[in-house]
Amino acid sequence: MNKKLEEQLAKMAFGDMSPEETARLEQIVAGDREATRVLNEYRDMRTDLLAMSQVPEHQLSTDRLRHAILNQGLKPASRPQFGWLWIPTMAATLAFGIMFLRNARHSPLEQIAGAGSPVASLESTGGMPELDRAPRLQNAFAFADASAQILSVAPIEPTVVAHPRRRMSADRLAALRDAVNQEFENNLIVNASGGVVANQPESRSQPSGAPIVLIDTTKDSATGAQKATEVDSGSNVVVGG
Amino acid sequence: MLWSAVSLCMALSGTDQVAAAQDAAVWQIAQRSIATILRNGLPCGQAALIGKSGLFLAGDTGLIDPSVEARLSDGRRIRLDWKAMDRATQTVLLQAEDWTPDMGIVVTVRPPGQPLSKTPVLVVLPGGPVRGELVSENRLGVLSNSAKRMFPLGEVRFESREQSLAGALVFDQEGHLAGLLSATLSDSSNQGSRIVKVPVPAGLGGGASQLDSSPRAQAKSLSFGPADPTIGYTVSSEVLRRVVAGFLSPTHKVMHPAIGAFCKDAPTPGALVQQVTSGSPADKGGLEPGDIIVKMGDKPIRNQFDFARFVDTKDVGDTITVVVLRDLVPKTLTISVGTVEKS
Repeated sequence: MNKKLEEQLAKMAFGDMSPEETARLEQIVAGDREATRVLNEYRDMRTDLLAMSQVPEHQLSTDRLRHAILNQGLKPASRPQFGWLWIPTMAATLAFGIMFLRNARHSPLEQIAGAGSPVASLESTGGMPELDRAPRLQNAFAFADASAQILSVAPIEPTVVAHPRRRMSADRLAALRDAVNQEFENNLIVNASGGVVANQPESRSQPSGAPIVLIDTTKDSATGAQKATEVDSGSNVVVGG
Repeated sequence: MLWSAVSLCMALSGTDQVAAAQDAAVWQIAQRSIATILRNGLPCGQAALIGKSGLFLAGDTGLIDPSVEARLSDGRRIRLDWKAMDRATQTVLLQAEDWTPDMGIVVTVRPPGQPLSKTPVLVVLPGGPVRGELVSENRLGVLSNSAKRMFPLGEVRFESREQSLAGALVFDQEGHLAGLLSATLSDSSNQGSRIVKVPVPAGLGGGASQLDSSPRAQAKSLSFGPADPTIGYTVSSEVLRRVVAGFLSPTHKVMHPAIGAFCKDAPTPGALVQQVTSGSPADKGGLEPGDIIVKMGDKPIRNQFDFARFVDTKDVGDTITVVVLRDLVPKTLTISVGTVEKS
């Protein structure tokens, strides 16, 4: 399926097309299974977006969504499988640093000799241990482990509400939400009185929703007529009147 | 199952017969208003009779000769002399020599208010008429020349193997002139099958094309599959009426309304004035670059296309009120509508 047809199907699914164009495209889709599948996917995407309370319907636009998806991608952000390990790692680094500084007056050999000692238990102080009262551990990693037990917290999983009709993975939904929010933030503008207004839909430059036709004065060698090209966005087109 | 297939074929062929009959009826009406322009004895364009005195309307298909030969539907040959031109729509006015009113029927332009979507039309090409479809009469077209003029366009889709489509006349099912093909979409490969043209050397039966004598088409072509799908654009019937009225006037000049301003989309709802032509009605009315036009007459202006569309609906000599934002302060201007002197 060519890219232009796919873009048109996306516009159709998001209601950014005139009734004439919609009827014309419906005829094309009726005989094309691949196009029907793609159209249904875009429709489901729209439904899922509507399910998110942060996206008002009048602000949905295929142009902004496409831009957001192209820039952000639909692939879920790669999340490290053991992301929570950064906390104990930081704690271990900090502890090691402190131990190093505190024991700087002792010879390095004494530090190494203490590596084989059994892990010392840390007195529970009911919270974060105060480092200046911490027992002198000969095994810095034991201290780090103990700190990790206090500092580690359970990872907070986001609550994702998916549309009951279709199961979308939490990651994909979150990626879509982030992409759309980012796109809306990028489009915030200031109105004439200085207040920030809601995003201006890009379709404001295309009242009918159809692409703008630019007519060149050069002739098309294939037809002898003037060359015409279509542009999706007319916001930068200068017109005379 | 066999009888079902036969019935289906009969039903389809019946539909085609009805369509063909309609096309024939339209062609019967239209051909008496058409003169086929000839170059070296071969058809290269079409002209429509718009005035009883022998005034013809044609597309500017690179007619460089001040006088061309043409053929009427009854086979008579006439000479057409260059009279005037409208650069904005790329149309020309031709005057037939030794014309009498009984030699043809004046064409009528498609009236306003007709149903727009998916109207069957007849596209008259140099090689003859082909069936097409007027998909829309509401497309926005902008000329890429210095005038940057915007016109409402009609989008016509048809299939043709011909290579000279400019200036093709488009008639609706009532025989009214619905448009004159001026531009074709340069990338129209999305619809229909692609055609493969294989030039056949002269020794294997190739020869000059009957319809196109250009050097590029000297070899006869073999075509596989349906003809090339073409998406063409015509000026809308309302602009066409203005062109015909202008050509029929004593000065033969088409008066497209304009105020002499160039706009693009503003960051806020409105049309941002980029440039004002010195001495133009907009300049005299006090319009300045940087102004944001937010209202014209009683119509809110959302973007530059609303601005151009509003001006296009006015007549030369009309006076319009324009509300602009200048440094965030609203101002009301009064501007009289002029016309494009040159593009």
